[in-house]
Amino acid sequence: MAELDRTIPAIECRHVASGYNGNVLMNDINFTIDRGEIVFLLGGSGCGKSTLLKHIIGQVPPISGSIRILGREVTADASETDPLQILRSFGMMYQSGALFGNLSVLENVLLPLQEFSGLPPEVCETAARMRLAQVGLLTRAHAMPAELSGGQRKRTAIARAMALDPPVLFLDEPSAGLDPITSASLDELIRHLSRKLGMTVVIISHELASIEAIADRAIYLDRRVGGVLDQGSPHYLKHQSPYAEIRAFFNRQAECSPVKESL
Amino acid sequence: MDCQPNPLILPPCLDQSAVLELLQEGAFSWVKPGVQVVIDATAVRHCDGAGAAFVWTLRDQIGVAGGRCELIHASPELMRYLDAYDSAREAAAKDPEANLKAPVPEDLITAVGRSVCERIAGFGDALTFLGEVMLSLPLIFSRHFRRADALLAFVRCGVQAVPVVSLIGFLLGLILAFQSAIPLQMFGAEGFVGGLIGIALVRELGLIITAILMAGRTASSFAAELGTMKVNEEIDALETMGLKPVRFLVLPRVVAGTLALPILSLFATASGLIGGWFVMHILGFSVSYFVDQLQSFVSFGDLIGSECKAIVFGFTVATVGCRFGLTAGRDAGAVGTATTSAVVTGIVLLAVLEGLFSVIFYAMGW
Repeated sequence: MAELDRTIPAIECRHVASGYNGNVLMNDINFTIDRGEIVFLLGGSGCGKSTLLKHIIGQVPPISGSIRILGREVTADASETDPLQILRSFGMMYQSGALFGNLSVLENVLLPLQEFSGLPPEVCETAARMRLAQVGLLTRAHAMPAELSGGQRKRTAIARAMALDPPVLFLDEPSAGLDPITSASLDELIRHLSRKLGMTVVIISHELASIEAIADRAIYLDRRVGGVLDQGSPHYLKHQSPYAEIRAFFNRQAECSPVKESL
Repeated sequence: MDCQPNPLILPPCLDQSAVLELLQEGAFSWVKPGVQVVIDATAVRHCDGAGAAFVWTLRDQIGVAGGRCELIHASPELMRYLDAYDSAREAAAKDPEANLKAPVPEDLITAVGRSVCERIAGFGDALTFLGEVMLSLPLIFSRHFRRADALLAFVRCGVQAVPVVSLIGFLLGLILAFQSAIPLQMFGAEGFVGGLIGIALVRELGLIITAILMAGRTASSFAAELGTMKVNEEIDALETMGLKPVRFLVLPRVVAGTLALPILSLFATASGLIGGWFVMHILGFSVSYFVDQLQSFVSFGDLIGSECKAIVFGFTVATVGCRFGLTAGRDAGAVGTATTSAVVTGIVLLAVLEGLFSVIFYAMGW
């Protein structure tokens, strides 16, 4: 992680048209996320945040445009770039946790370490247990995913996503459905990963408390403008954004005003 | 005491690749009794999870082997990793509910005992489920019966199965006729092939092969469908709304299966007879001779008996599929287990029921 050129942005989206099967959700998404930033992707339900995340991680190709993770083109042909190298550069936590039901908590976290790290088994196990200790789940190491609560599943998924110390971490709704205390401890963990380990963390979430507590920047996506409506620090978006709906979003108010109040 | 002359000097960037280099240089060869190792972390500027795990494991293993390991000049970042892990381990050791060690596999006697107890309990639950299904059967005639669902299930388990059932039936009749014609020719009795396959197909084989196909095709489909609904909490949602899964989900499928199997078995039997006739034709016998043979050896009662069995078999296969789907666990593997159990149990029950019917029909002189 450290030997990577820190001047290269973590993520770059240039003129990305997002959508499935020719059905365009947003037609011109442009943003850059720098190394070590904690960035929240915001937007109304159904605006295409999760789809954009799938484009970024290379799961679904965008309709057009360019996406780079750490300078490597995600949308490039497999002959031009090493897909495994791109996959190794990030960790992903899915909304449901997506844990393997037939593996214990420890085995779920061990899996990427065993498959990709090349470390001996005893070091892999210590690394996996350290990750579990970081997310407060060392006591449940040998529990099966079916025995875990929703919050524990998410924390296991985060431990698995960061098992290989990826430079970039994507989290889809990490604190949805969690109690405020667990959610705050998760925020603390994310902040630690970013500040101490230099990880870039991209989060899809609507939890305002989390956004205000840990976000360096939030990017607000809107289908009506076909891309980024506004971006900036939570304080800027809450108080100074020219868009009423963004201010309303941050001030927990229902709004039905047009896209742009004034510019 | 073996004293290491040089300390193990950690590199400035203690990440995964640095750890791999240290391991290649034989860092773990220092793990032996009585060794004294100094790990010098003065240069470490950056450390990731793999680096911290390496230092902790090396320190731990040297200690376990009876040596001494001293970590000097460790950065706050590295110490935070190690201390946090140590304190988490200490806290976990004090937690009585912690799953710190992998569960020990149970011994054979316990496993057999537990399995027997589970099966006895499962048998009781199965009977309760059967009772629930039987009690809900009168609802077929009420407006609460979901006819559209039953029709859809009938199309899937009945209409769409006609081609495969007919093909298997045809091949069965063909093979049966060929294989019996060869020895019968030795006695000049090949003319009786028609009667032989007629009795075999109408009374038993047409139905059995269809029922086994249905167990593999339909019971598994019902179990997978309901099992996935269970995983997705759709069954819970039904129950929370006050709707009974037996009426809402099981009854339409059971009705479809019960109606489909007798019809499918007719298709299999008819196709088998066509296959048999094809062989007779090759052997030089006419259609009318084949039909005469059938009329003299196979009675209408044989067909009625077979259809009665088909109704019971269809009900059994569909009920078993639904039962295993509804009792599936909540993970992806559970759906697979439920599907396998549904097929195996369905086929075993078919064999048991076939035996029972044979005894009953024999006692009735049928």
